[in-house]
Amino acid sequence: MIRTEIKRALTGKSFKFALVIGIAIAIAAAVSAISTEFFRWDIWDKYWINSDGSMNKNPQIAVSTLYRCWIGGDYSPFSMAFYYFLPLLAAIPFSWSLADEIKSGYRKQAIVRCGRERYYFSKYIAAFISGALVVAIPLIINYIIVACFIPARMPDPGESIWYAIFMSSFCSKLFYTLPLLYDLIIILIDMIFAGFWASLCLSLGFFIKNKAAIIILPYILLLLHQFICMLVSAFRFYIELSPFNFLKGYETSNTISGLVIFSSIMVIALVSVAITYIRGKTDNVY
Amino acid sequence: MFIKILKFDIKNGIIKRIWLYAILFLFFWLVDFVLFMQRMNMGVDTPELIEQKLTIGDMLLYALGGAKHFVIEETVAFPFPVQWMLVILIIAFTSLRYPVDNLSGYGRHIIILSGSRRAWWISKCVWLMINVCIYYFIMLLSAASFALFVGAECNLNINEFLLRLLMLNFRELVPMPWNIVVPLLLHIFTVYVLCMLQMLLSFFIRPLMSFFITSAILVFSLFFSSPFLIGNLAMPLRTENITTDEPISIGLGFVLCLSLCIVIFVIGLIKVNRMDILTKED
Repeated sequence: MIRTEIKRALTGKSFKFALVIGIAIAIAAAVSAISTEFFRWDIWDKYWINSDGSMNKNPQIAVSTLYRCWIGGDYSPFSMAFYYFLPLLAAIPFSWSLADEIKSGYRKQAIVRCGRERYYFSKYIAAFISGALVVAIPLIINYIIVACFIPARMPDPGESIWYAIFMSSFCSKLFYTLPLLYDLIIILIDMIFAGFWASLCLSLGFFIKNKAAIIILPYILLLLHQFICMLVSAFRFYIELSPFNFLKGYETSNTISGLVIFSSIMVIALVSVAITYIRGKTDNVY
Repeated sequence: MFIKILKFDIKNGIIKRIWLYAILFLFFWLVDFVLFMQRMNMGVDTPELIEQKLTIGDMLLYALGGAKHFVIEETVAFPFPVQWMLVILIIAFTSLRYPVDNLSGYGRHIIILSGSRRAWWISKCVWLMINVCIYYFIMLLSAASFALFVGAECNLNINEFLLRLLMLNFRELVPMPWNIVVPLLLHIFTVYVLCMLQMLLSFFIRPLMSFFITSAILVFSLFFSSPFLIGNLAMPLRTENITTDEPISIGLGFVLCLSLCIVIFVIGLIKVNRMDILTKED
């Protein structure tokens, strides 16, 4: 059952659509970052290098690095757009499937044959995997493309303002010592968040019959959550609470805290598991 | 026949959704409250900024203004206008399902019995217009009631604190006082056109994808300032009445919106006339 559901999730049109959109944005972000760096190097070559090979200005070479130019470290329009679409992209592939099967009556047939636990567990896992992959694949593609053109220079703590990763930032020590591991952790966090988000949207299929509402309503609530975080900032609380910002590999206005990231993911995971377990056990299928 | 269909749409698409308008009223109150608290927060450090009272103009511009032109500043975060996105996405979401559900439900029978697809389509366009107007009327009502509650002024003046809150560059702004009525009207018209576009697209592709396209237009309009990305027309902060930095002409904006509106209407009419409504299902 699990294999069947995962295959359905990963070969469906919705997954392909979301993946194509994600990859398109990732490639656009890569092209934008690479062209910006090429322009920067051109400036260096034409105006900043003396005849003896020395530079007449500090080029801040360490800033021109893969670890700042990939989609999770860059502040280009496409990078920001990717993170704002992330919850939608994660939910599009398979989150609507439970509501669809409840409406069509397929659920009754499936449960009769394989049992409730196996059915709901398979659905949950398939939604998680499809949501995680639809986010991870574009991130990895972007990383590889940028790595082909921009050198992986070690970040310099003296230039922290350009990376927007400061002493108090999440895993800042890791960024300045093992930046590749830092970026992999960011990708992993994004994947896990996207997976649980997709599962949360799936679990809403017990309450909401409309497939579009299952995906759009939580997204609007997430935007509302980000808006309410602005109210929290008004009380001088400057820790980043919005997933649109803490999933990135750099800080925007507030400090990113590992505890907040972990708590947010845990809350989403627990709510989705609780709903799926409780409603799965008690729901009258017939 | 058109009047009867319109009455049906008003009854089922508006009157029966009164509960939704109550929620929207509360949502707009929340937006005004957040602005109020942010203003109080700014006043702690710079008390002179909040000497002038909050106004309805501040509340409307805060919710509907959008953002300044996007420039990649590596040391300054771009102030993403989440409230602007929310306001537009909520109206887009609330007007997403009704036309499609109607077509696969009662609307199908109405078209068959009335014999007029054109009347059905025109009725939907008018319903959408009424829906958008009610939405913004509720926003205005909410702002007015909030103003009465906190003792704000009931005028459309804009205070300096809002300019700082929205991180606007004073040197790139048109001298005050600003006429924000026309840019706000352009915003409302643009949102109507976006919703019409979404409604048309939902006849070709799934409603979810049409909503995704609407969101994409809004997000990319934030980062690319072109009047042809019509999300820009929904941002009063980028119009010539407010900014001098690559301002968007309001006249051009209205012309573009009107042209798009006509094009969408005509394409919709052709599509509805030729569509196979009998096999249309959710």
